[in-house]
Amino acid sequence: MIEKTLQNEFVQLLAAHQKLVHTICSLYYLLPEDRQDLFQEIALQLWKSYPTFNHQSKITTWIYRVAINTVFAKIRKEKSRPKSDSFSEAAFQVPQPETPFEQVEAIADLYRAIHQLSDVDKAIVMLYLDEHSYEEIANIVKMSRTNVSTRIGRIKARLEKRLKPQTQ
Amino acid sequence: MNLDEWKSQWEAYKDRTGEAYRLSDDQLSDLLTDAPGFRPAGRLSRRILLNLGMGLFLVMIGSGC
Repeated sequence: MIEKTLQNEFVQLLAAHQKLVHTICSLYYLLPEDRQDLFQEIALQLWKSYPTFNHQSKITTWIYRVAINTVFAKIRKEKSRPKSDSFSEAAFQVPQPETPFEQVEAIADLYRAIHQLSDVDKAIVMLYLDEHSYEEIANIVKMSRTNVSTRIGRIKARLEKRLKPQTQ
Repeated sequence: MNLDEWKSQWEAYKDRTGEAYRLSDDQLSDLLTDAPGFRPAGRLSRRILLNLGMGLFLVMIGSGC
């Protein structure tokens, strides 16, 4: 009974924040079945650690921490993960009907540019774009603040260079 | 263009992805209960009881009771 109540509470929480988990899955895997597998793994890891979540940190920070740990553990286990450049352009399409073409293009450009980054840099840029502080990012990706700051500088330069031609 | 100016696109991307892959509460519940190899403590004890019950039942049938 208690377990069922806790599960219902957790499902409500996951439902409210599933957008974040889907976004993480979409940045690390292009194939729908891989994304679904990862989504389930993240959901299970969140469920396992939910009883120990003390609500002292932001809920999104906790989700990011568990999700990113799960992604990195999954990637380490995989011996032959397909590279993103082995996929066709269609794999990078952002799903959305009834949206102005220019806006879809801009979003797809950003997605494509982030997808080209290393696994760690993807996590850092996601957290940066979601306005987490350098301390929070350092804590989630288990790096020093200085290292995070340096990496963000490099990532910004790289992405801004890639995104520049589309903005002219 | 500064990366910070892409934050609106990032928000739009999250909204679109979240909307496209949204799961219902029932589907989310199923993810927690249908996972192979995942056994929360309560489910494990129920499984042990079920196996014991099945074992006893088979012994009773086998012995002609």
